[in-house]
Order: sequence, then structure tokens, then C-alpha cells
Amino acid sequence: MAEVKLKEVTKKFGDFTAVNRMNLEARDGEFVVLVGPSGCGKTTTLRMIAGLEEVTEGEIYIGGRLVNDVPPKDRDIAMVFQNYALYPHMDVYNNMAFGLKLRKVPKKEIDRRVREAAELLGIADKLKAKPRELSGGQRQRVAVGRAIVRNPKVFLFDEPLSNLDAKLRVRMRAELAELHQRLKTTSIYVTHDQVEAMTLGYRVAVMKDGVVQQYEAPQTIYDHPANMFVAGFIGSPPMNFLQARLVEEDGKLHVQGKGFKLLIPEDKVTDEVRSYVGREVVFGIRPEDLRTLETVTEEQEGASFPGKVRVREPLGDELIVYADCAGDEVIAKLDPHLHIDPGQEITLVAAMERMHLFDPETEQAII
Amino acid sequence: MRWRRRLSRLPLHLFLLTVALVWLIPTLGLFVSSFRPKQDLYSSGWWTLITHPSQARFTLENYRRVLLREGMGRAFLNSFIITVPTTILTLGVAALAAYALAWMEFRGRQLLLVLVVGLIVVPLQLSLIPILRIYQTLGLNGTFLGVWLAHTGFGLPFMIYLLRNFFAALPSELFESAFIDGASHFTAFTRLLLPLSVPVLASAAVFQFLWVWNDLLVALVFLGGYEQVAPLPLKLALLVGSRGQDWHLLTAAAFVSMIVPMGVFLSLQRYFVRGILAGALKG
Repeated sequence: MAEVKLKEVTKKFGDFTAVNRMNLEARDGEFVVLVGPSGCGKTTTLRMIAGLEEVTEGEIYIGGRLVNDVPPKDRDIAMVFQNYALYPHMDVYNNMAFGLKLRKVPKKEIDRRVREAAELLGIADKLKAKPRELSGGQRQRVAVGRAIVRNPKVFLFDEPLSNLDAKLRVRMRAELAELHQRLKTTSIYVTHDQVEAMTLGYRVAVMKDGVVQQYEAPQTIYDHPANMFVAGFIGSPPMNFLQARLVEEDGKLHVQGKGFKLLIPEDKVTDEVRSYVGREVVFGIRPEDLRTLETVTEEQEGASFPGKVRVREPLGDELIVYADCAGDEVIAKLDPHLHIDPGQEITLVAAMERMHLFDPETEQAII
Repeated sequence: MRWRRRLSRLPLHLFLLTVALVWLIPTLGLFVSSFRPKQDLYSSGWWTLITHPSQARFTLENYRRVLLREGMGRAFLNSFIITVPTTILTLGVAALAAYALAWMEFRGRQLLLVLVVGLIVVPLQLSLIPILRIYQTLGLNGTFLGVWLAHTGFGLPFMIYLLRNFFAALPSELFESAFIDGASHFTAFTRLLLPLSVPVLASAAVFQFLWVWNDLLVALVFLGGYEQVAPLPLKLALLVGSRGQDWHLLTAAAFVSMIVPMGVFLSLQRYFVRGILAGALKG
């Protein structure tokens, strides 16, 4: 086991900078997730850690050792690929044993490790099967098995679940989490799926354009996104962003938009927030932090604003409502048992203690 | 339903059948003629078999004579001595080169590939004389080694091109996974690439085998007209010269030279079709 450390790592492909001065540290035994839209540099980062891409600038350490010039096979890592990358001409047993054989591990030991891993992953009865005879989930298990028999210092996962159907993905996600609980091997996991990121990661690094936007525990990222990109990327449906202006009345700060004027709670007001008085800001509120008047027990002052329902999407456990608020589109996640029809006028109540404010220029969070 | 579909395809099948027949008739004529006695061959055509089946006579004498007395047996052996090592040598070198061009990172790789592809368009006739002069200095003229090297050299550009395209289309993750597993390039080549490339290697082998087997020019130039080392096409050409009137011998000799390529092709044809399509379609 080992910690992984990236120091000012940059990767350039010609003129294009895929990863820009990235710093990242995965502690010993930690499960770290790199998440971001396609082309954000997360896979390139993983491939640099694996040694499949050369680092243009900066340093990568695995277990305290500088590995910039160490070939993949000597980094003591194992990687699970999106398309499994199983050797098609070998059966499951040999797929898992291949790496051990190349490392001249004694036959008995290979046999023990392969059978143990197969048992752990529930593929013990498939050892003689060729990859093409397996289902997607089974193939993915073989790919994981191939990684764990090696007993490496670090696991690298490159979108390992994105080729599976939705149901299987949920199950494999839980299995991977359980596996990590048992093995406690340092893992770095790349995905574009925010749910995978939130559920698997001890810490999550949200990336965009080759830059880490925020690297923290999933709940912290959800509660306190560092900027508008992170706020919009994590959470579904995404956070509402409304153009507004910060105004002061009777010593109290309000955020005022086209169709709303909401009171900012006292405990949120800092000197930095005060410096924005009279200026443009972006008001952010998550759909799940909006309620209708009927479901609010005690009415808060300066927290409600009107809207007209355009579309309703009942999902069974929740009701997504797209409302028009004086020209702004606002998405709200509401109680599914509410009777709300398109065209209806409703009053939305914002949980102002969970509001966000952003600077429209830098897009950085103010609150 | 099934009948209707078959009926609608009937014109197409008839057409294909006709084309196949037209193509096959000369070979069929050759085949029938090779079994007819000399006198019959001069007095009537091979179609006597169809028009007057009762008058048709057959003999194995032509083959016996060609193989035992006219030296076709020796030529047959020579053809093998030339073709088999050449095919192995060409495929071996081409596979290694194609692997390097597809999967190894080195400076000038693209340029090298373009160069190799460019060599395909150079007619081999251009290089016959220069190579012949080099061989003269090296003493390779008239030796099997000389022909092996010449054939290998002429075959390599296309073979490298064919194999590289197939190799490059294999998923890169397979190799990356193998490298992480601890494989060297050589291990990846032998344990991963070769087993996965059987179809294209088989089709490349068929290509090269047939070219070399049917080659007259290269053998004539580098081996000279010597009976002891002449392969089948060369021997056949010599026979035409010395026995131009003896159709019964020529037909039999021609057929002897066709048997092996047909066998090779038929036994490997399922790979052959797959190999030609290599790289054309994904999946």
C-alpha cells in the first residue's frame, strides 16, 4: 500500500494542455475519485500515474518514490480499463494469472491467488470460460480480479462501469465499494458520473480543462462548491443559477433578481459578501432546496417568490418542476404527492440557509 | 416463403453460375486434356468427353512421364525449397516490423511507415539488375539463399503494410494492460499479438506462398536456367521450349504446378477472406 502524490503535474499534447499544474494527494488506503466532463484531463492524469503517458512537467510519487521515469510494470500498480481489455484468446484463469506468470510467481501461489480472487468476485465457476462467453458484468469482474491478484500498491480505475447497463452499474458500484473496504488498497478512480464519484470517493477531485476545481470530501463539495462549475456539475438536476444584484435595506442584505427579492441570513454575511453590495452576483439554489408554500411549516420572511409551472416530471419518488419566474427558468424538486399542473401559479420557498452566491466574473463562490 | 425467396434469387444464382463456368472452362479443359493419350489430343478436343463419351480414353502416362522422366518431380521439390522458407522469412520479418510500426514509440516512425508503403509502388523489375550485380559480388547467384532473400525483400513492403494495419486496429488497452502486467515488447508480441493475429497471418501466408510459388521472373533471374534448381514455373517454361509440341506433357505439367496453390488456398480460404477485409471494418 502506498500514497500517491502529484506535484505540479502538466501534460501537453503539442500545443494543447490536457492537464495543467495539477496537485493531488491520495493517502494510503484512500479511495480518490477524479470526476469531470469528457476532455477535462482526468483520464490523462490516470494514465500518467500508470506510466502510460509521459509527464511533460512536474513530479509523480507512488509510495514516496519518484516514478516519472519508471515504466508501468515497475510502478506496482494495476489498472482496470473501461473496455475491460481482457486477453480474448485466454480463459479467465489465464487472464488473471498472466501478470503473475510474467513476474515468475510460483505456480502454487498463482493458483491460490487466482482462486481466492475468483471466489471473492463470484466468478469461481467461470475460470475456464473465454472472455467472449461472459456477460459485461462478469467481464468487469475478471478485469478487477486481474488487478487484485497482483496485490499492487495502487489500483487505477478508468471509467470501469460506464460500459455496463444502469442496473448492473449500481450493483458493481456497491461491490467495488465493498471490495475496497476489504482490501484497503489506495485507489484512484476516474469517472464522468457524479453519482459514482459521490458514492465511492473518500475525496473527490472535480476537474475541468485540465485543472482541479475542488478536491474535498463529497459532502463538502455538495454543500460548499468552490465555484459555479462544481456547483453545476455535482447534483441532479443541476443547481439553479439566477442573475441578481446584492442590495442593502435597513442594514439587511437581500439578493434581488427579476422576479425575486430574498433575504440573506445574518450568519452568511461576511465582509466579503458586504463588498458586493450594489453589484451583480449569481444567486445559486439547488432544486432540492426549494419547496412550495403548502409543504413549509413555518413561513420565513423574505424566502419566497412566485413562479408559473411550465413542465412537470413525476419520477415517483420526487416531482421535478420547471417553473418560469419572471423570465428565469427555475427547477425545483418537490413532493411527488403535490397536485401541480402546468400553467399553475405557485409560490416557491427557498431554504436560504443553503443558498449560494457567486461572482459573475470569476465564477468563484462568495457564499 | 422460403421458396419464394429462393425463386427471386434464381436469376442472380444463374448469372453467378455462368460466370463461374466461363472462368472454369479453360482450367477444366486443361485438366481433362492432361489425362488424354497423345494421339487423342492431336485428333480431337477435350470436349469429346461430353460430345462422345464412349470414344474418350484416359491415361496416367502423361503424369508418370512428366514427374519421373522430365524432371517435374525435382522442380516440385525445388518449388517447396524456395517457397516455404521464403514465406516463413517474409512473415517473420514483416510481423516484427509491423509490430514496431504499430505499437512502439520511436522517432521517425511515421516516416518509416510512409517509406515502406511507398516501396509497394516500386516495380520489382527495376531492381533486378542492381541486385543481380550485388549477388555476383557476394556469390549468391544461383543459390537458394539468394532467391529467398530476393523474394523476401520484394514481398516485405506489402506484407508489412497489411500486417501493420491489422495490428494497429487492435485495441490499445490490450497492450497497455499487458505492459502494466509486466510484459516486455517481445512478450506482448509473442503472447498477445501473434495469437490474436492468426487470421491475418494466414492470409498473408497465402498471399506470399502463391506469389512465390507462381513466380517465374525472380527465379529465372537469380537462379538462371539450371534444371537442378529450377522451380515449377521455370521448369514449365523450359518444357515449353524443348517440348512445345508435346501438349500431353505440358498439360500434365501445368496441372502439377497448380495442385499445391489450390490446396493451400482451399485450406486457408476462410482466413483469406477475413484477412483481405482486415482493417476495412471494425469489430
